[in-house]
Amino acid sequence: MITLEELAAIRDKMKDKVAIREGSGEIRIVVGMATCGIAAGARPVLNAFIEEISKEGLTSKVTVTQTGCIGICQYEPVVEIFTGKDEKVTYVNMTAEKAKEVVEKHIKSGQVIKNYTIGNEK
Amino acid sequence: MIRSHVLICGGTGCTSSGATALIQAMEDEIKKNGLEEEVKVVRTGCFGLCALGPIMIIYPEGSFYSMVKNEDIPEIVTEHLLKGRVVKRLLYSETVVGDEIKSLNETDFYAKQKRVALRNCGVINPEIIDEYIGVDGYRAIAKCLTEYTPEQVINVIKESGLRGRGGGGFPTGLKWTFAANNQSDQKYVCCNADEGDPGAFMDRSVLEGDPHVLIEAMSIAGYAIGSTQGYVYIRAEYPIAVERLQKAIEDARTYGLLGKNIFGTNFCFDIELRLGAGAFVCGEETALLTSIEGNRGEPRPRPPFPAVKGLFGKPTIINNVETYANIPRIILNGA
Repeated sequence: MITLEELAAIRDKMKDKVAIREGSGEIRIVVGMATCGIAAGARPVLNAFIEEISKEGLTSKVTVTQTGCIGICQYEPVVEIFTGKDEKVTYVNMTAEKAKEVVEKHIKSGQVIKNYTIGNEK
Repeated sequence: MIRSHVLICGGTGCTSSGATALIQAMEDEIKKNGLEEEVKVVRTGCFGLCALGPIMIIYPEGSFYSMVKNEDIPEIVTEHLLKGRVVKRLLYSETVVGDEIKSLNETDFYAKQKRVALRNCGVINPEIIDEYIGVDGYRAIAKCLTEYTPEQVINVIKESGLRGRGGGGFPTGLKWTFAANNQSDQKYVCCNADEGDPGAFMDRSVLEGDPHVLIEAMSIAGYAIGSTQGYVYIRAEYPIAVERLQKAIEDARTYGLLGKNIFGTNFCFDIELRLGAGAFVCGEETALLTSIEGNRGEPRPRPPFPAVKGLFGKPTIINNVETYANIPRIILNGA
């Protein structure tokens, strides 16, 4: 027999999974997955984001999605992060390791990693 | 982590236009592209646009594809699910305005709708009890059993002004009061799922798309009037609905949401199905009760009304599927 606590536990567990069907989360991580992005290694970057977000239990807050080519193929893999209505940060030449760092610093504590952003990348 | 959900309608309309094969093709194609850890395929209940079936909605984007064919699947997987490019030519035409894609709720068909009874249809997988629990399922019965007396439950229903959705429009709370006030060793809660009007599919949509809502609502009714046994009289012409409701009842029993001492309280309740053999008259409540008793489905004179002398001569309430589908929401949101 299920108890009230167990019911609540199932609800909490499932809420995250069903939340995706209500549309986008507060934060959107968009990975460029056009031919140029895929060729430059966007797949592992996307996978890294998916893994990290899930590991940190952020699935109901953060949506990970892909987009097509935005026209700066030489900088691929490109990742855009939308945190507010008009706030967008563009990371370029991304790798799986950098993705982990972005989740840790940018997504969790709101610190943009300037060195990885477009125009500042070294 | 699952980053995308592909919802494919598994209602009767879309099933007859090929949804079953489509689901299979989608799962195969996802596997072929190595996306099975990231993309989940969910078979849902009816979403309401049966004429445009099979229907597919892909989240988080909320892209609404209509009249999807098996041949379209590879394109959807490689373009949308892999590269993130929505396949515009397959979108429901009303969601595309020039270069912009509108959300589904902004289209003419859905803009004026506020789905209450059908709120979970097309959103959850009706065959997985955990998904129903994830959208606040069984929280209303928990609230009734732990916070309300039976009288308080009836009062909430009364105050809400809910009236019978089968067409008669009789105040539901009043009906429950009559049954609650009659003393008896046993009382019954019945559901009229013998939807017989030609072309009326509202009850079927609920049964196929959200069967647990009916189980929860009938349990609430049982608690309110003091009954431990429910019967759903459902027409055999609704095979998908029968199958899903049966599975839902079994899953609820496994979780102890039906059966003895629900949530550790003194409340016991269980539900059985009775299949109707297709007699139109059995949609009438007294004929329906006679049919459940195993006799020929003929109406009997009222009074006595079922609330006084119903199934097997005991006080009985009988409500329509859609009426029940509103009850958990009323309990959670208040009258």
